[in-house]
Amino acid sequence: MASPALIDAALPSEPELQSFARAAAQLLIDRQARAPGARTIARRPGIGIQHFDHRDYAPGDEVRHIDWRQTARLRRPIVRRFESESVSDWTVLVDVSSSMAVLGAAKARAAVRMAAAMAYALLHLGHRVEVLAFGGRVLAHCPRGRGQHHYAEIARLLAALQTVPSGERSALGACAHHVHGTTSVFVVSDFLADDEMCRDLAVLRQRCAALHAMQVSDDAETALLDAGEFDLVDVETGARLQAVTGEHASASAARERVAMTARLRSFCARSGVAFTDWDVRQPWQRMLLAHLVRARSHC
Amino acid sequence: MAAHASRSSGPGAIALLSFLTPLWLAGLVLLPAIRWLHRAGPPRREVAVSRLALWRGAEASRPNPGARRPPDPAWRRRALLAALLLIALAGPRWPEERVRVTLWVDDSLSMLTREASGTRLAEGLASARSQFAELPQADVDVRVLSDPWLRLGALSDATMATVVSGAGSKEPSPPPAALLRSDSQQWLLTDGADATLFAWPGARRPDRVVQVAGVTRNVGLERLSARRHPGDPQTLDLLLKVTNGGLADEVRTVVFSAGDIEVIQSDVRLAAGASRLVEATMPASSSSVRTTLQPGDALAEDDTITLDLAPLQPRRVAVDPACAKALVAAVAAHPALVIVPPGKAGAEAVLDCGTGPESTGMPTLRVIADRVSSRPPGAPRWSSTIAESRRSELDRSRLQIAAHLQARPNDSVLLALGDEPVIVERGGKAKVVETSLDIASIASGRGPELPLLVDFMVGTLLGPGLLDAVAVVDRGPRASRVAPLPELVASAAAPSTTVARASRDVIWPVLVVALLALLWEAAALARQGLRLSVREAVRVA
Repeated sequence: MASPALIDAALPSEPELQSFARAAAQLLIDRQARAPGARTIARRPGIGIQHFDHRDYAPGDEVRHIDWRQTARLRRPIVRRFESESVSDWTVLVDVSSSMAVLGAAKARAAVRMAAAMAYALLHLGHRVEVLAFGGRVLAHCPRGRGQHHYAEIARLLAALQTVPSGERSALGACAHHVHGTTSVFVVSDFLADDEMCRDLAVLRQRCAALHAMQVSDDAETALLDAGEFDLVDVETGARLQAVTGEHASASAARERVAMTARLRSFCARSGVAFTDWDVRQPWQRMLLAHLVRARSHC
Repeated sequence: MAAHASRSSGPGAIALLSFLTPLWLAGLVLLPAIRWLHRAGPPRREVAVSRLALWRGAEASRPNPGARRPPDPAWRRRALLAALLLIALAGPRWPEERVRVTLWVDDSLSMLTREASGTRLAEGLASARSQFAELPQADVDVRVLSDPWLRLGALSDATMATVVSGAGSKEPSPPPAALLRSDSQQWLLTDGADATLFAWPGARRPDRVVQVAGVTRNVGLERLSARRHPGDPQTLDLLLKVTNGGLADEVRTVVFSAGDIEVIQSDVRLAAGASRLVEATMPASSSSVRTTLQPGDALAEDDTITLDLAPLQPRRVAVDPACAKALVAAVAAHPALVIVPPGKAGAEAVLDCGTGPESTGMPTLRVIADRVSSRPPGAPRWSSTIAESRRSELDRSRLQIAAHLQARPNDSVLLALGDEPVIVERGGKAKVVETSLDIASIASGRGPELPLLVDFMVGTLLGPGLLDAVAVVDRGPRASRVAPLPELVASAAAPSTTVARASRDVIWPVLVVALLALLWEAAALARQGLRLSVREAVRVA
């Protein structure tokens, strides 16, 4: 395995992050984003303003939450409960496998920027956020925290992330034991694996409340500049392939990439996973907002 | 391996490329090996991709079983480069019509004889030049017989001036066999007066002789020598040898002069080819003697001879006043020594009897006497390094010692009595001879031992032969001979018709082509590297 190298991604500036957080607030604060698909998200009581249900008063309950009308009707103290809205747990998973390091680690840099923006926006709204960087295993972990000071820790972790030019595989499933049932998960990856990581996504989907998949892609990775005979080497597995490259080969690779994306999109639609394909040349703000809007519309 | 180029090509011969060391051409068998090393085809570049499955559609079709990939085209370029280098190492030579000539110039004294239009040497060189003008394709290499290993180059005006200016300074000799190349003609420029110059090694003969000899009369001074008169150290005996090197009887007057003063004249009659000795005496105070033949003749350079008499001048010895009178008298009686007071400038040696300085830096004869005289057992024994002619017969009964000498590792014991060293030459920068002989006891015997021992010890310091020094200038018996020998004239009249053809090196053209091939290869590699680096930079960007 080659020696690791710093991703050296320039994280978004504070004004950029604040601007994005304000724009994404309504998409992240109203209610939990509900993933499209057959599975519905269980509502949970908590702190909020939306009525959830009633129950008998218990010592320690807020007196101001007593529903006096129901108490008079049922002749016992009844308190009103609210749907938990503003505070939820999020886990951001960032892929730093070797496939993210090709072409100058453009995909890794984009993934880090998007993870930083997403974490900032969530923390800005009071959510608790943890960040994991994964390759063949969990390579870096910032435990769950809340508040702007926690963003500083996340930023330090993201700034120190390294990619390995070759030999580091993609194993999203390695992050599964960090996820619990009430957590929303946001995955930023190129999903270049044997089954487009569908099996790992399915595992995660079973263990979390909501799952977002942001596929990072780069058109340049399916275009070789020169025609001729090459030994193509898979940066993750080391497998080799003697290939004759040219326009036809590049077009074939692009078609295969589209097909892989289509398979992944289809799986996400079936599994209730919010999915977006993001070309790194597109601005991350627009793609992330579009993703949240799309996820929101499926709630 | 014999070079093809060294052979003469006769009529009808086909001019073919030849090689000095054709063994290198065996390396051409490596060319198939170069092609075999490139059998895998052009090198494929590795490209890292994020997912190999994306490129399944670009997989190269595998060759059919038994089918071979074409080799890397670069093998032709590299094979060409290797072949050119091997050919260059083999030393290719291309036969050509150019004739290579080595002109051997006899620069003996007789070549300075004046002929009708100049010296023989100048006339001969001009004649050779005109003959070379008839061979426009000739490469001429001039060498002189007095210094055959010195290559003077083409026959230019500068070369001619160099040859003329150095003529007569050294005795010529036949050319060495190593310089008689078979691929070049050997011409000899001579007057034919010296038969030894035709005795070439291996019975070789000159291919052509350029002979210039018109004058046949000359009398020259062959040798002049001087020595001290045995009975009168203030007089020098001169002996002059006059030789008639021409073909006619001659009469000359010999004039001896010291400085501007004419000392003596003598008339000499010489038959053709004969020599005569002329004796004369002159005062020893002169620093040189000049002898002249009158009247002069065509070879003026051998009509005068000057002899430097400085080697015959007495050597100055600073004598310690403490020395025994007998020792001082022995030094004073030596014809080649003169006593000067100690400390006076100009002394060439020091005789120290115990009161002189320890070290003066000059050759020093130290006489040591620090004990009562005694006669050691044993006979006198000379060192084996002393020549027999320098050893004296010594009467052991008159030899006593007055000191005990210790011979150190760097010293040389010149004379010992039994096991006792009595004359020791000390090792070191300055020459020092020490003796423990009791001078008084030797002198009391009134024998010849003391003068002989003084001569031996001083001779050790200043060099042997002090008693009978001879100054001589000798030009050799052939110096005055100017008339060509008949047999040499006959051989010169039939010049060889052998034509040696030269071959020209073609290494440089081959190397230039090899350099171009190398540049081609370097450019191809640089282009490939540049293309790869640019491609990588574009991909990363």
